[in-house]
Amino acid sequence: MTMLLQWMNFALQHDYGFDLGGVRVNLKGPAPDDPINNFIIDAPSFNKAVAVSQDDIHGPINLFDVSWPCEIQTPESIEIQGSVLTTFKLFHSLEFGFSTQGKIYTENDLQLAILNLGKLCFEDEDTAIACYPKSASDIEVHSIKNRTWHEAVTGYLGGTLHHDLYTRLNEDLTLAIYINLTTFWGNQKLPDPEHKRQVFASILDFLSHIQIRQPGEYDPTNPPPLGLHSPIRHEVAVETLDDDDVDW
Amino acid sequence: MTNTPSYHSYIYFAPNTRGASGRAVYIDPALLLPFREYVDPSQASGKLIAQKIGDELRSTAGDLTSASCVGEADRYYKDFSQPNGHGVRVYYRIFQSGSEQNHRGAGVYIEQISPINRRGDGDRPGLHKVKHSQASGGWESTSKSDTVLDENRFMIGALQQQHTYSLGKTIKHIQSSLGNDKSPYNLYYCPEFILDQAAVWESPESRIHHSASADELADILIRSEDAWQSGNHGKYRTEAFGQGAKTLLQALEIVARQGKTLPNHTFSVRSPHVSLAQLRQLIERCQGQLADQWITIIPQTASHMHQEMDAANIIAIQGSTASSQAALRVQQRREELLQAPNTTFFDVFKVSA
Repeated sequence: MTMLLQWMNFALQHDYGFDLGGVRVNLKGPAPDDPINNFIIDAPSFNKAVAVSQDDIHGPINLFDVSWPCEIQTPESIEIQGSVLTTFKLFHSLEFGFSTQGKIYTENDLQLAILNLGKLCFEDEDTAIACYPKSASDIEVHSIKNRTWHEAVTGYLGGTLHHDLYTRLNEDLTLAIYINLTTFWGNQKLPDPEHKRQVFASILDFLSHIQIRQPGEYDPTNPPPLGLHSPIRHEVAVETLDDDDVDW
Repeated sequence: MTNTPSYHSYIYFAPNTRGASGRAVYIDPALLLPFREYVDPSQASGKLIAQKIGDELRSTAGDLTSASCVGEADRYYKDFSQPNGHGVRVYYRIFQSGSEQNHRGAGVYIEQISPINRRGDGDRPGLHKVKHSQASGGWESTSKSDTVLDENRFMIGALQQQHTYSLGKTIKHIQSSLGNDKSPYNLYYCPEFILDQAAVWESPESRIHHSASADELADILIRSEDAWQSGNHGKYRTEAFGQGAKTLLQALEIVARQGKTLPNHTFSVRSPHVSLAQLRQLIERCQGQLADQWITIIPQTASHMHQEMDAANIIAIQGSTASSQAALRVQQRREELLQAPNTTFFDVFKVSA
């Protein structure tokens, strides 16, 4: 039986615009979970961040969180199945714990960086519960609108568990989306592939609304919008109460 | 229960359930807090659920195709849910006119309201260790295999995202209250639908899971006082939030009953879904400390109503101020309403909410 998982039409949602080290990232999604502080992350702010600790990694910059529900239609009704909870992060190439020059030039470099990060975070953890990619075959690749996203599952069974998506912005910067999906299937096991595929359809749809433009790829006199813009709302008729209804 | 309780104290549920059209629907006025907490008409979905309870019970109650028998004659339950996952199970009884006179007349009598959660297995309840990961820039949690506190900060609670309990959402909420403090802490993750004794499970399988309980929390608290077992961490900052305060209250009752004490715990609560006066009494009985700013409550929340329902709390929180005088007047008004013959639960709720 195929489930009919449904979610919002992202095209009708808010417009987000970021300038991440000169790369313009625009996307569509519901309102963020919390107010967003920074839409522009420039090189100096990154240098400052990386300089905090020379021999240790500083960690990525958390950009914002956004979440949306997925519903399922049954013969009786439409019920929410779970929520996709995402956190957007910006990694500097140095923060993957590289011993090389700290640049990520190719998709292959990024895969090595993801494997390295997994090792860094989880190698010493309890192998019975720690989840992280151990080889390139543990990283799933999604190609969406000519952009490559690398997916790895990290975290702990019975604890926080997330699907992490990474895409390269340039040799210095990588955009990551950490996605918590445990409201769909709990945190005590990994989802069965078919269930995951159905929920991921919503995530892939979301990714297809992300536009990433390099400095040469947009008109500098008319750059993509920055900030958060609400969608234009059409008036919807409000359901009126009958005389006999009680307005709780 | 074999003895038949009296239903004379029940009041009409809403103005449209007085029996003028359809059956009369009555409710136990003591359900004001569960109604505020689980139905929560301050939300759009809760408003619709409240309407549906009145509308459907007056027209279809007792129709066995739409209700389930609880195993006793005349006792039923019915689930009311909204597409967003918000849902409650309403337990009720139906009396015909002419039967024994322990009630106000023919009609539906709502006896209990409990939250329902129809989805998935959910995140694993129980004791967790939460630490900040510099490399991933986030907080990571692992479920502990023992019941020993190994950090000084101890958080108790569980929050929902779109009406589903979520460990990730709970940790995010805690993070926002911790600010820049990146120290690891322990979390007792205790989603309430598991704790609630009135809640009925969707499937017997769901009972098997390791479940969070007041007994387990009491055990954790008692063990933490044992320096050898706890690794001698000394003082604990123990904070319960939302429904977690209910689990804490129940756990402290167990600790007190066993004659154990918690002198190394300094307690604080945020938006507790219990009466503060009761909680403080138990903390003091267990010889626990109260943090300097031990209460944070946001007005107009379920927590606020929990406090407002108890006169001792009003004075405890606010002292004798103008607003505590106002709260006492609300309480008095509620008492008056409850004395009037045709009062509805709706009226009492509107006065209180």
